[in-house]
Amino acid sequence: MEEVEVFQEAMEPKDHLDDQEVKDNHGDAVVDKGDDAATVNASPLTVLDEAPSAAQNTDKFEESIGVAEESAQDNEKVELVASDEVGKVGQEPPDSVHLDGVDSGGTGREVSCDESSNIIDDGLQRSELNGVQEQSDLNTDEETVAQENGAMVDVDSGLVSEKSEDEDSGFVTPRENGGVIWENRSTEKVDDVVPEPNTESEFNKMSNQDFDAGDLKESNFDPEFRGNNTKEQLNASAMPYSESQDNAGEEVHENSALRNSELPEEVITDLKDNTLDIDINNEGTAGDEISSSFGQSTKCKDYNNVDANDSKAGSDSEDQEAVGEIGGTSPDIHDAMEDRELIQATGSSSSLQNSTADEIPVQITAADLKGLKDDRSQVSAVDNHGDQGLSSVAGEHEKIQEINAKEKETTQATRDQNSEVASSSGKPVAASNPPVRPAGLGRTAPLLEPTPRTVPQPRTNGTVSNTQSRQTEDSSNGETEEYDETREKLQMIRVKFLRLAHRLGQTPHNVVVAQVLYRLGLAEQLRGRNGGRVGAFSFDRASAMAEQLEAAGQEPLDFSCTIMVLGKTGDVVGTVQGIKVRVIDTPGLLPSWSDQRHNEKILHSVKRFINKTPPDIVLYLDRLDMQSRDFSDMPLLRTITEMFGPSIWFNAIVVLTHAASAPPDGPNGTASSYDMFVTQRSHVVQQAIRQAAGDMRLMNPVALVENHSACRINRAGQRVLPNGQIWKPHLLLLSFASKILAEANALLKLQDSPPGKPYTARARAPPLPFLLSSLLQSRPQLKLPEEQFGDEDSLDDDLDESSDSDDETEPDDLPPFKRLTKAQVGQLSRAQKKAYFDELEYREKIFMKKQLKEEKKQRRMLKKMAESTKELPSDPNENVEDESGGAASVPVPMPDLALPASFDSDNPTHRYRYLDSSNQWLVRPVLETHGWDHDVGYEGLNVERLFVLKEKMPLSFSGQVTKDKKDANVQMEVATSLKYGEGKATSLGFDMQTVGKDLAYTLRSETKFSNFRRNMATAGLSFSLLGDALSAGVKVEDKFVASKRFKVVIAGGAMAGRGDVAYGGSLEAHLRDKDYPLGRSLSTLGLSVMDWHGDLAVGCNLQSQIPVGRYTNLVARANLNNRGAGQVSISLDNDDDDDNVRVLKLHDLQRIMQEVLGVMDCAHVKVVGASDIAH
Amino acid sequence: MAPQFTREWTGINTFAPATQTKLLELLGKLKQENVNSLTILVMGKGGVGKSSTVNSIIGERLVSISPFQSESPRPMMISRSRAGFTLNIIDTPGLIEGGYINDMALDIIKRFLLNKTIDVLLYVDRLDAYRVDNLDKLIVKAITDSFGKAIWSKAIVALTHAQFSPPDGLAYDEFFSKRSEALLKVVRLGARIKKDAFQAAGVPVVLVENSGRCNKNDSDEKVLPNGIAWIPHLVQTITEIALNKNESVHVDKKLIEGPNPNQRGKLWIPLIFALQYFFVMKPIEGLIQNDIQNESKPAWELRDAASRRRNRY
Repeated sequence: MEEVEVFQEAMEPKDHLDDQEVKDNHGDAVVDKGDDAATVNASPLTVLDEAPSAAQNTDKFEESIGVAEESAQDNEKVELVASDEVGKVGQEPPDSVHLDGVDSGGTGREVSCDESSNIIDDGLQRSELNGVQEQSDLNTDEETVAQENGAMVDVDSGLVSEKSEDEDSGFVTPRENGGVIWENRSTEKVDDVVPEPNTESEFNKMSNQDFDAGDLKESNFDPEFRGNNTKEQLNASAMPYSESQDNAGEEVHENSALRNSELPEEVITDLKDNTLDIDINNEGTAGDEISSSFGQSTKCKDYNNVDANDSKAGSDSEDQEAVGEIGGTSPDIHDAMEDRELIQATGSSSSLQNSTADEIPVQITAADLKGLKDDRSQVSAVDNHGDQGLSSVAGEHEKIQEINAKEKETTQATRDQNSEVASSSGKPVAASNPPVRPAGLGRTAPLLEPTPRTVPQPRTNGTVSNTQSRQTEDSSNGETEEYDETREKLQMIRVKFLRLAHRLGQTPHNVVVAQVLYRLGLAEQLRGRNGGRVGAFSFDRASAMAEQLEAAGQEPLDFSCTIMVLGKTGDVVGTVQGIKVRVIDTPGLLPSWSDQRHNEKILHSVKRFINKTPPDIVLYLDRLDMQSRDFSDMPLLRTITEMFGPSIWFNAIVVLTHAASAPPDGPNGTASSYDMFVTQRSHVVQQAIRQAAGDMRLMNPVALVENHSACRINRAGQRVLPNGQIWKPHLLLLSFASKILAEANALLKLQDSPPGKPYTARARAPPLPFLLSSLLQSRPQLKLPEEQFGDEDSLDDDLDESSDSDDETEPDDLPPFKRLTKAQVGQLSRAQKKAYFDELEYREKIFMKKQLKEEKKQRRMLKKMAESTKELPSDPNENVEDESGGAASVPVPMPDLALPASFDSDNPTHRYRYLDSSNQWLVRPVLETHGWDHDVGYEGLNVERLFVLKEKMPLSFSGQVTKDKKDANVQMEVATSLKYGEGKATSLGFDMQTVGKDLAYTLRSETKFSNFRRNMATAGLSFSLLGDALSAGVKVEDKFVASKRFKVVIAGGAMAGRGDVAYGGSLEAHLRDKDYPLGRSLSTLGLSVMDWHGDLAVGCNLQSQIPVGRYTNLVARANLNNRGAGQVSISLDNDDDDDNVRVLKLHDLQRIMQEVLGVMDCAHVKVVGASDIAH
Repeated sequence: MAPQFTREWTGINTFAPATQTKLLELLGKLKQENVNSLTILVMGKGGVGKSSTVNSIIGERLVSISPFQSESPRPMMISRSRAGFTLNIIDTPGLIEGGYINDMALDIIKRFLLNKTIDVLLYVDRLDAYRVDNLDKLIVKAITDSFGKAIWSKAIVALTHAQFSPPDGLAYDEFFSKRSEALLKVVRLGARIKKDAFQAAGVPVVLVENSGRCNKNDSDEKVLPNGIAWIPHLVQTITEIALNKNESVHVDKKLIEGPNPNQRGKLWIPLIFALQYFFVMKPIEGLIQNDIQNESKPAWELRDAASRRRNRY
C-alpha cells in the first residue's frame, strides 16, 4: 500500500512536465539508447505478442517520468537512473517485439507477426530487434513459460482458451469472442482495482516471486482476444523481472534487475494494469505495409493522477509527431482514462483483430485521428474529472480496430463518468454497470468490423492537423448558436440510432453501436470547434431519450432505409422486417467475361430503377462457402464498378450467404476454424472489391447471412450462425449504421457526397483558389493583327507621346564612330578602353532610341492608315493575302529552342526541328526544360492561330497538348475581344484545361474601360465547370499607370461554387528604369491574398533586376507566404560584350524559413556555376 | 506408358474394411478384363475440390490442399499400384482465371498429357452451387477442344460437397437430379454433342464428399446423405466407364495441336485451278484477242508498222 502511495506521489508532479522533457526523453530513447535498452525491454516483452508491446513501453515510459519526478524530490538517485533507463527503453522499440514471441516460443509457429516485424522501417530498431532476440535466447530457459505464452498468443486464432481468469483479482473474463465482453470485464476490473489497488500490487508481487506454471495457467491466451491477455501477458511480463533478479549477474538483465531491486512494485503493478497496445500491420495500397502502432496506456489511480495525465496528454500531442518522425513508429499514446481497464478492454477488443488485421484498413485518415487526438487531449485538460485523453500518431492508414477501440473508450468512458457524476464523490467509484451482453452477438462482431462510412477527407499531413488542433484550441470557448443547432440535430440522429439499435435488440454496448456512436461523437468534435464535453453528456441524454421513446412505444420512428442487393446468381436473401426497410432485389449477375453484356443489361435496368429511388445501402452478396480464389468474380465486380462508379462500394456491405456452411478442411486435414474461414473469405471478397474499385483503402464491412431452413434457431426463433451470431439484426444494424453515419455526415457536411445522389462520382469541392487565381490574372486584351506592334498597351503609347517631343540627339549629328575590332580594343590602355566603351554605350543607346522612335512613328502611321482603309470597301480576300504574304512562303526551319541547362553532350534537342511555314496555324513543340537528363524534352504540341472575324474582331485560338509518362494534359483557349468606342473593350474567352483528372471548362468575360487617362478599370465574370461542380466568379481590376516608370495593377475577386466561397486579391507593381526601354533595371512587387474556408493565405514576392557594372545584372528574387515558407535567390547575369556570352549563375542562395522571422538558419547554400559558351 | 515412379497403393489400407473389400473386388474385375492400368484425368473449375477428390480416392494426403490459396498451375500425376494393377490419377489445376479460361494452364495440361491415354475423365464441380453459367460451358468447351468429343464418352461428372442440405423445400435427390441435369446440359452444349448421342454416351454423375466431417455408416465408410458409400460407388463408376466399349482417348501430338491448317482443303486445289483455267483465264484470253482485232490503230502506228515490215524485207 505504501508503495502505491509512493507511486501516486510520483504521478502527481507529472503535470509539471512540459513538452520539452517529454521530447527529450523521446529523443534519447530513439537516438541514444542502444542494445541495453532493447534488452531491458525485451525481457518483459518477450511474452507479449505484437499487440501490447508498444503500449507497455509507453506505459513504462510514463512511469519512468513519474518516478523520475519523484526521485527528483526524494533524491533517490538509483531510482532516477533506473527509471530513466526504463523510460528510454519504454519509448524505444515498440515494434520490435513480436518476433520474439514467435521465434522463441515453445510451439514456435510462424504467424503473421513476421510480417509485422518486417514493417519496422528504421534500422535502429531493427538492430534492437536483434538484440531483443538474442536476449530472449539467453533467457529462454527462465522464460520458457512466458515465451510459451507469447507463442500461444501468436499461434493461431483457432485456439480458444477457456480461462484466463485471474483468481487473485477475481476477474471474470467471459471468454468469448467479441469486444462486448470487454466492457463487462472492464467494469469489474474497475471494481477491483480502484478501491483497493493494494490487492493488485500484492498480486503482482506474488506473481513476481512465485512464478511458476500456475501463473501460466492463468494466462491462457486466446489469440483472438489479445486484450484478454493483456493482463495476463503483463503478469507474464513481470516474470522476467523476478528472474532477472536471480540472474543479476547477467549483463542483459542488469537494467531490469536494477530496476527491479530499486523500484518498488508499482512499476510492475502499473505495467500490469495499464498497458495495452495495438500494433497492426496494415496492408496499404500497393501492398505496402505500413505499421501503425497505437498504444494506449492509462495511468490513473485516482483523480489526481488523472489530472497529471491529462496535462501530459495535452502537452504530448505535439511531440508525438516529432517522435513519429524520428522513430518511424508512433509509439506514443497516453490515455488518461479513469478506468484504465476499460481502455484495456477496448483496446483488447481491437487488438484481437490482429489476426484479421490486414483486412480492415481504415478509411479515415491520420488527420482525422490526429484531430481527434487533439480534441481529446483538450477535453481531458478541461475536465478535471478527466475522462479521456487520447492521442495517437498513426501512419496514413489506420486500423479500424483502433477506431473501435477508441469508440468504445468514449462510450465507456462516458458511461463511467456518468456513474461517477451520480455518485458525486471525489472518489473513484466502481463503475459497476451490470454488463449486459447481447446474446450471441459478441462473437463475430469483431471479425465483421463494420467500417462506418468513410469520412472522405483529403489526406493531410501533420501540419494540417496541427492547425486543426490549434483551431480547436483557439475557438474552444466560443460556442456558436449554429453549432448548437447542428448538435441538436446530431443528437436526434443519435437518438434515432439508439432507438434503431434498441429495436434490433442491441444494447449500446454492441460493437457496431458503440462504434457508430463514437463516430458520431467524433464527427461532432471535428465539426464543432469546441471538442470536449459533447461526448460525455450527449450520449447520456440520447440514451435516456431513446429509452424513453422506445418505452412509450408510440413515437413513430422516422427512419427508412433502402437497401439494394447485388450479387451473383444463386444467392438468396431473407426477408427483412421491422423498421421501414425497402429492399431492391436485383436479378442475378454472372461472373464470366462473356456474360458481362448480360450483366450490363441487368445493371442498366437497375440503374434506371435506382435513379428514382436511390438506395442507402448496397449489399454485395457472395457465398461464404465458395472459394473463389481465382479472381473469377473480377469481371463482375468490374462491371458493377463501371456501371455505378467506384462510389458504389463506399456504401456497400459485403454479405456472405450460406454462413452456416462448415469450413473446409485445412492443409493438414483438420477442419479449420469457422472464424478463420470467415476471415479468409471476407478478405478475399474485400480484396476483390478493392481491386475492382481501384481504391485500396476501401474496407467494406462484412455481414454473414444464412437463409437455409436448416439454420440453427435460437429460442426466440432467430437464426443463429455457427459463431453464435444472430445475423439478421446484425445485418440490419450494419446497414442502419451506415445510413445513420451518412446522415450525420450530410448534416455535418463532412465533405461527403450529397444525400440526393449517392452514386455519382464523389463530389469534390472545386479548387476555388486555383480558379480564382486564374480569374484574377490580368490578361492583355486581344488585338487585331495590325494593332499588334508592341506588347504595350495603348495607354503606354499615349503616355509615351508626350516624351516623344523631347529633342534628343540624333545619332547622325554625332561625329562618325567606328567600332574597333577585338584586337584593337586589346591594344587600348585602360583609360582609353573605358572611354571607348562609354562612347560605345552612349551611341548604342542613342541608336536604339532612334529606332524606337521610328518604330513608333511607323506604328502611328499604320494605325492611321488602318483607320482610313477601314472606311474604304475592301476585298475580303485582301486580308488573307496580306497575312499569307507576311509569313515566309517557303517553309524555313525555325531556330532551335534553347538547350536545357545540362552538362551532358547527348542532348537530343537538335533532333527535333520544326518549320515556319506560311500556314496560318502556328505549330510548335513544347519543350520541358526541367526534365530529366538524357530525356527528350519535348512533351507536347502547341497550336496557335489568330483569326479575324468581320475584320474587327480578333479571335485567337491556342491549344496545347502535353503528355508524359504519367498523365496527359490538354489546354485550350479561345479568346476574342470587341472594341467599341475609345478605351472600351470587352473580351470573351473560353478555356479548357485538365485539372487533375477532370477537364475544367471556363467561360470568362471581362470589360475594360479607361475612365481616366492613366487609369483603366476592368470588371470580369467567369464560370467554370469542373467535373460536375459549377463555380462562378467575379473580379474587379484596376490598372493605374502613374508614370512611364511606375505601374500598379490591383485586382480583387470572389469565386463561389458548391456553397463555398473563396475571396482573393492581388496587387502588382512595376517600377521601371528611368530610360525604359533602354535601361535594364526593373523591380516588381507582387502581393496576393486568398481567403478560403477561413484559411487566409498571403503571399508576397519581390523581384528586382539591377544593373551592376556595364554588362552585369543582379537579379534578386524573394518570396514569402504567411505560413512562413519563402525563398530568396540572388543571381548574377553577366552579359559580356564579347561574342562569348557567359552566364554565370554565381550564387543561388536558397533559404527556407521554417517560421516567419524564425531562426534564419541557412538550410543550404547552393553555389551553381555554369559557363556556357556560344556564338 | 509406364509411369515413372509407381508406389504401392498403401492408402487403400486407410479405408474402412468394407470399402477396401469393394475396391479390391473392383480391381479384380478390371484385371479380369485384362486392364492392368487405369488413368483418370481430373478436371474442373478451381476450388471445387479436385485435389481433395484425388486424395480421397487414393486415400493419402498427396496433393496439398489449402482452402484459400491458389494451387500451383501444374498438373500432377499420382501413380499407385496394387496387386499388379496400376492406378494413375492426374490432378490438374483449375482452368478458370479472372473469368476466362486460362489458356496457359490448359496448354500445360495438354503437354503434360502427351502420349498418355486417358481412360476416364473426372469432371468435378460442386453440388451445392445453384446455377450453371457460361464459365462451366467454357470449361467443357476447352476440354472438348483439347481432347475431342470422344472424351465425354469416357467422362464422369463428380459433384463434390455432397453432404449438404438443399435449400428450402427441396428433397436431396430432387436437388441432385436437377443439378446434375443442369450440369449435363452444360456439358452437352459445351461439347456440342447432339442430344441423342449424348444420351447414348450416358455420362454418369457421382457424388463426392471429401470433408473430414463426412458422415459415416456403421462399417465406418463415408456415406452421402442418401446413404451410399461414395468411394466404392465412385470407383465402381470409374470401372464401368473404363470398361465400356468406347475407346480410351490417347493424347498424341495431333490431338494436342489439332489438325494442321496447311493440310486442310488441299484436295480442292486442282479442281479450283481447273475451274479458274476454264472459266476465268479462257474467257479473258478470248476477250483480249477480240479487243486487239477491233483496235483502231492511229495512222502513225500503221505507218510505223509498215516501215518495219519494209525494213524487214
